[in-house]
Amino acid sequence: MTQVPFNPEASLLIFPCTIECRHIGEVRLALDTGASTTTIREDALTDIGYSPKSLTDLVSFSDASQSHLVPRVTLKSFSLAGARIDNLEVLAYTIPDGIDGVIGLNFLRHFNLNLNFDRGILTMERIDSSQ
Amino acid sequence: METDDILQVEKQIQDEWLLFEVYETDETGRPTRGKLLAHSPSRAALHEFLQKNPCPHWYVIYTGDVPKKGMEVVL
Repeated sequence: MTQVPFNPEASLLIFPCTIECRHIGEVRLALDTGASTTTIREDALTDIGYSPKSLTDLVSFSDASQSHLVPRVTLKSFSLAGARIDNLEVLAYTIPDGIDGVIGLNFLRHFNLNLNFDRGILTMERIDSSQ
Repeated sequence: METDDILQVEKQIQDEWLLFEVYETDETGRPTRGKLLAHSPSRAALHEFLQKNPCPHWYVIYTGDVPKKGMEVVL
């Protein structure tokens, strides 16, 4: 079980996450149960070792206002504190300033989540035991 | 090795993006000790720094309000 503090008064629930390819990056992402896929700023992905030329697997991406094609890559690992998923697919897309992306359902659905706004604690309990 | 208390540096440099090389993290994965490599109001400047100076374990944080005051966000 993983427990992570957050600010229950904040407009966005932002958590430190670890992304790994050839290098390791510590980024801050907003929890977004409305996002189907975890999405990370393209700059951050190239900074952990992805070649911009390798970002060629394009998928259709829709945000609140439009649709466009964005690259999809597979991370070596993605972690939120002790909650880790290997080989997680993420989209490369730049979210508005201040954060480096969002934590989407393709990561979150591996865990039972409890957002305790009284105490400001996110609890994550792994559902499957395959990893 | 010269190290910085990352939380202290975050408090000292407001409304900018900070880039650290990470030496230690706490049990929640939050970086606690490291070396400040660069800071700028522009996130792109830190990307440019890392492209010229690759770092095996880095941390980027923005120390201003997220979202900016007066803004509402729908993700």
